[in-house]
Amino acid sequence: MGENKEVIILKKIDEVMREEFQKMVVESSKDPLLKLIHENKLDSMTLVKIRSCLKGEKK
Amino acid sequence: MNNVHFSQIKVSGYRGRNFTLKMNPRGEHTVFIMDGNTGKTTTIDLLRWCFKYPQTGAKGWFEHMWAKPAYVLDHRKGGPQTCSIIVQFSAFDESGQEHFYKFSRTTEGKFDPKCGQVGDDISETGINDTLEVDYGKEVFTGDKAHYYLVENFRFDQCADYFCFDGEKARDIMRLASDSGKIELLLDLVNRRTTHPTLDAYREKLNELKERVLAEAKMKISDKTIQQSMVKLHLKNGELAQAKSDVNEVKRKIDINKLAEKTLREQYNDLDQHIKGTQAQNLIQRNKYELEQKNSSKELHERRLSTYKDSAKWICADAVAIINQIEADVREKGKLPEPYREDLIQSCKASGKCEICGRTLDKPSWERIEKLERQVAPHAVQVFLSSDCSIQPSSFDPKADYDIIKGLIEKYEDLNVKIGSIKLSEKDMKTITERDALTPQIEELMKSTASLKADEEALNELIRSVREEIKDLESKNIALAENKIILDGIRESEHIIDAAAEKIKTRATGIISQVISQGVSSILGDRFTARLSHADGLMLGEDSFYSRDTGGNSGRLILSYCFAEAMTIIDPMIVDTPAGNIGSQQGKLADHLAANHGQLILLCLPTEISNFGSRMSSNPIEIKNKES
Repeated sequence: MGENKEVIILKKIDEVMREEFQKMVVESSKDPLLKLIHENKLDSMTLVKIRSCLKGEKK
Repeated sequence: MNNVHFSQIKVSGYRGRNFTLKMNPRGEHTVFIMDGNTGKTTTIDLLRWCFKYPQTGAKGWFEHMWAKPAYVLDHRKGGPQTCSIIVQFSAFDESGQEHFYKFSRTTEGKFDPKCGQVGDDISETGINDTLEVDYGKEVFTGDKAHYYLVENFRFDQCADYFCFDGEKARDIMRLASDSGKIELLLDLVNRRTTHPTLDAYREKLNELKERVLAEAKMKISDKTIQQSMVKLHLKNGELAQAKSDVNEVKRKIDINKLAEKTLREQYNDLDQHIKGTQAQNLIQRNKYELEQKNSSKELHERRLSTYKDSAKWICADAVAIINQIEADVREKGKLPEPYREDLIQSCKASGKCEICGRTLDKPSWERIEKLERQVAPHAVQVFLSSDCSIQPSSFDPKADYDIIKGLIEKYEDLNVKIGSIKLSEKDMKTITERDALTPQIEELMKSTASLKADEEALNELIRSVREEIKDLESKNIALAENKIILDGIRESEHIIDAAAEKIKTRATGIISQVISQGVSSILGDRFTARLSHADGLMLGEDSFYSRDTGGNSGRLILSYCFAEAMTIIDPMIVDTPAGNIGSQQGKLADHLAANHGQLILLCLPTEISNFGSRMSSNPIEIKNKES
């Protein structure tokens, strides 16, 4: 199962939707927090770092 | 929850069906061989009924093929009866743990042909749902069972598609072919729109907010600020709940709108049918009335001419008599009566000539007795054929009478025919069906209006709670240093909400693209599909798109791909899957097998060799047991 060239419609739609959503949220908005989430950096950053990151964006 | 796997479906009593479908283990497809009239369609329709309608809203909503509503009880059984369906399945949670579910719906009632539209006599408490999670660790009853499934599996949104059959495929083909119904089709697409990453982003922002609040809590000693923090925490919870509620309300509004549209479509279809029949009747009535008008005109003209010939009509009989006398006089020399009888007999009786008064002598007696045999003299013959001649008449009163009588009979016969033009019993039933939709539509409109009011109230609540949170955050000195983060979170949340709305407009294009790829993979590269606001769903061959490209089998495959795009869960339960796909059976079988982790196929015996055998090497034969 699933090893041929068939288009897996269900998965494909979720995949494309996800890509579209991320493109829309991250690339078009340039929102700093969403960017950090997208780059998987938010969890590892301290609040101090996040603050300075946001302040840096504002400047 | 994901990776749903159905393990067993047991039907007892519903529509006289009794069997258990035991599916092969996870990772395998299952093929059941079910001959005609064993319950394939009933199984699909029961699943849709259970997944789409909660316990309190299920009565009267069972549909079977084209019958809407249809009876769900066993109509061959007299007296009270209990029917049940048990659906067992499992799914994995986020942490990869498998959970087991057993949903059951029992219906108690009795068949009464006089009850409602379909004869199901089911009380308000006659339908009962139960959902057991992990063998009884949790048990949900009533509407809660349905809403648990809605929340965790969204079965309600996609039951029409993961429970698939030829009738639904034809529905899709109809929707796709009818330009007036494209909006309905696109509504379905919008319902399918999911945002897999949306919740993940929101979750991350919430976690960040929690971190900010937790850090602030640790630093504060002042009781007032502590209280403010507790309040802030509560308000955040209130906001999250209100957001979740508003989403649920929005979802219900969407479903209501779609249901309303579907009912309106049904109403219009029935109305169109009724109007069509009425138009046919009107055409027939007009035809008869025109014939009647012509008969009436002809009758009038005939009567008029009869009256105009009234002189002929009055003397018609006299003419015949005179002609007879003429003939008699001419040919036999007889004198016409009453001359011969009255005068001769009178002379003979009195013995005198009644003309001159003389007593009859012997020669006179002889002459009188010979009068009968006297031939009219030449002068009389001339008189009869000239001065006394009567022109022959073509006027035939008997023929006229027959024509007029015939016309009157025709007129009356047409009257009877016009009187007999009325809607058939079937059409009257269609009118009843159509009229029964009106209160349902009104009910849905009322419910939508009430939901919109709820939505507005919840949005107002969200606005005010947001203000309160902002206010609490700005007054709380412990949060002052992280204000920039809290403001950033708010801004990010707005962007996510806006993106969620925006993506809906792109959904059509995305789904169109994927359906097209699916179609190409089954039918070959020459074939593609296109879903658009302008034309709906169309199949294309060599980039030429139309509503009839690909024939019936091509469009059936297009319907399959659309259904697969609309479903949200992996398994697909299909009734008579190969249907009239024709030579594409094998390709469709390969496509379905590749697209789904679990396929449950309810096949006719004729579908096994080219179709079912590609899915499973051990098809299971199912026979309906008489209860």
